[in-house]
Amino acid sequence: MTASTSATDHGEARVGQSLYLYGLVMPDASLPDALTGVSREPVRAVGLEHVTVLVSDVPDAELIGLPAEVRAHAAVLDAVAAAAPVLPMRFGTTAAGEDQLASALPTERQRAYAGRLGELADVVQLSLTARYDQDAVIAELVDEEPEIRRLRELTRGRSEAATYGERTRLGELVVAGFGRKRAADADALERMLTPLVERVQQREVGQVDAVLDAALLVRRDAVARLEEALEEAAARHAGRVTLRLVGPQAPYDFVGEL
Amino acid sequence: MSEVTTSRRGGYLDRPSSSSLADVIDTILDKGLVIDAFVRVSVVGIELITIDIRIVIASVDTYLRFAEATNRLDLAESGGRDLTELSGSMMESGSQGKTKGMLQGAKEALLGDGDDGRRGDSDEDDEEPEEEREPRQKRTQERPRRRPVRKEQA
Repeated sequence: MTASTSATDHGEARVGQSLYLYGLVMPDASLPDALTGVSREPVRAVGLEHVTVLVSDVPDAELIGLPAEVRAHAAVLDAVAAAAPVLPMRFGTTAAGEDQLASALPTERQRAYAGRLGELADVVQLSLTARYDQDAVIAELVDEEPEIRRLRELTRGRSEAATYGERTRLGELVVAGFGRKRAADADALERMLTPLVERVQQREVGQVDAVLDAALLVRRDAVARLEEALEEAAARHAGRVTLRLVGPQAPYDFVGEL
Repeated sequence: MSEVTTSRRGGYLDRPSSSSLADVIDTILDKGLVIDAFVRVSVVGIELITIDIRIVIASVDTYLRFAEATNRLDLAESGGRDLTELSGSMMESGSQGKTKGMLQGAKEALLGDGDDGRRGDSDEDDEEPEEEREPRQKRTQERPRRRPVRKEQA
């Protein structure tokens, strides 16, 4: 479907119907067919003057449950992003009806969003996560740090209750060791990525074994090159670090800038 | 809407053709365009998870878990196996099982079902049971698995 034709598909008799919003695309964007969105409702395009809004009906106005809806939201946007630039709305955004779309998006704002969509035309987002193989890094730490080695030998084979303090200290040192290695390895990884991508946006890592969580803004014609480079890196670090690349996605991490 | 990527398999790079729930939450949490006039549903479940995670990382639970992992490891003592040898067996056992962190654990406990693992496109071998996750896991699972979300004015 294209944004312009489908705008009228379900347009009638929807006034006042609560709408779930996915994102904004250019009016001439070519979109995947038959997208299914939140609550398994069909996704349709509502055309405004300078942008088109992707929406679906919210049949039960009260409830949007997890996790199916989170997945549906992202699945719609990522499918669209694969074909055309899209500005994703934050998850859970709803409008009171089609009339509200126009009133909430006055012309000059539409122009600004259209301008941003133009800037995003040739790029997609991909998400990269790098994780340590926990045992491999612990082995390094045992080898490198005498205090870790000592505490390990001290606590090994003894009950947790009898060695609670030593175990806590051991774990603390190991976790800190991961942190030091992370700082160096994340740096190296980012340096490797820099020439391959337009932007790297590091996300806060929340796990001990995390090396790097990053959103990458990549030119569409450079995705294959990035995949190759990461495949090589993954082979080089096999057994110590695993790399996972997801996407193309909508530019969730880059809507606020550019 | 099936595959949207040019995915390749069999290499070292984990390159799923579709996102898992964990990927999705990592990606879309608190991101995207906010337009004041529109109503946002409050995403209770997700907010709870992120709070959980912050507590977990700097906790004694985590230290004890890593102490245990360090104790369990059966190598340096024999003075032998170097890292290159190690990598072989590591690759087979895979990184997903034991190194799956607390974040993942918490997310899956709260949000995920069996088929909602790291690889969104496969429903086999998503082995959930892991000894080292138990204390946290139990607590997390006492909550309802799926939290409905109420609409409210943002």
